[in-house]
Amino acid sequence: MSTYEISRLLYGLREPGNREACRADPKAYYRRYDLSESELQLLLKPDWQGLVEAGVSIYLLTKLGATLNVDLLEVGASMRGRPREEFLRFIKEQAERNKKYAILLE
Amino acid sequence: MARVVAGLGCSHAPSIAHAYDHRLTEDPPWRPLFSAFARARQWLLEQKPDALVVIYNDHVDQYFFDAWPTFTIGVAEEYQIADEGWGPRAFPPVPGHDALARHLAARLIEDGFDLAASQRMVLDHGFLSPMPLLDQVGHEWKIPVVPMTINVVQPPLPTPKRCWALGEALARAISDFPEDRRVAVVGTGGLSHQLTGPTFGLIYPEWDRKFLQLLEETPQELTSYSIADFARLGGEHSIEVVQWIAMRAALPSDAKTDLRFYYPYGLMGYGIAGFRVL
Repeated sequence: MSTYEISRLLYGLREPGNREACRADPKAYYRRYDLSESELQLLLKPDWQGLVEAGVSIYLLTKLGATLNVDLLEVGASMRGRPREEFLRFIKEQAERNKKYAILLE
Repeated sequence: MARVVAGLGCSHAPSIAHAYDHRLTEDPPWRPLFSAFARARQWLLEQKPDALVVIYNDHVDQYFFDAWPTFTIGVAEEYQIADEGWGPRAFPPVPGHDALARHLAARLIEDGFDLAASQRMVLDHGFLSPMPLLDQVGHEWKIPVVPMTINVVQPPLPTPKRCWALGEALARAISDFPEDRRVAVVGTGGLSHQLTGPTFGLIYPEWDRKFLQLLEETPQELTSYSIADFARLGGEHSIEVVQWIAMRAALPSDAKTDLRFYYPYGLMGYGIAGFRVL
């Protein structure tokens, strides 16, 4: 299935007025577009990883995140299927583990 | 005649813009990155460029899937700031070097690079997360730019080999510009990051270091890699490194590495490399 229509919807969120309309009534806003029932459900949840698997670009999902006030760490935790705290712990431990690779320029 | 005097590769990311806008640049985790950019800015100014050609990639802020251009060049007098969902960042429009841009567009076409010319190009974080750190003094843009994009979003994507050829053609086109101008080429993107799926947030520091080493020592070797190779080695979204490859190809092979920085933190490997043409 093409993700063109759902991509067009998300591309529209570059406009502040569209973001406001989406926040005020997400379902009504999504229904302005010719979406399948499964696409509508993915957006309503929103199921971030499901949207990726449907073929939607992360660069469009960040616009939905901005609209719904969901930050990238929350999106990441959701895509991993883990709680936010666990994901943040992973990020922190990864940074510690990778310190030895840094080449700093002070 | 104009000539390429320097090249700079660096990362771009919404996180850089966020830390800058929220005045986190002196916070311990962000300080290494922003002090490296401060050094890079000082170094870039020492090269006295009259214009910057900035090769970056758009993130569905300017271009869309109705027709996504493989390569573009901005030919406008100025460029507006994109609204990526949080409202446009508070910068004045970025001044373009439109005379150089029109010359480059024409020469590249004559040279076999059928790129699209854009008279209106809103600049998103691909351009705008690093460029204030490299060019702005106070809140004013100092050096006029020629923005160029390489598609890394809608398949089919150009090969790294083709991106290298673009950089070589760019250098030829710059050297044909009839005015005596010093031009620096900037390539932004990467390094490793993965922004989908169960490995979201995973960084690949060993590959990033190897990439930086190849870029310095045997850059043309990078043309033997495919986009799929970069995705496997550095995460799906690290394929933006093709922008660095085009930048490096615009420089002579004996360009000297003046700056080298790598900092794996948060969701990605942040890198900066500066090359001076001898």
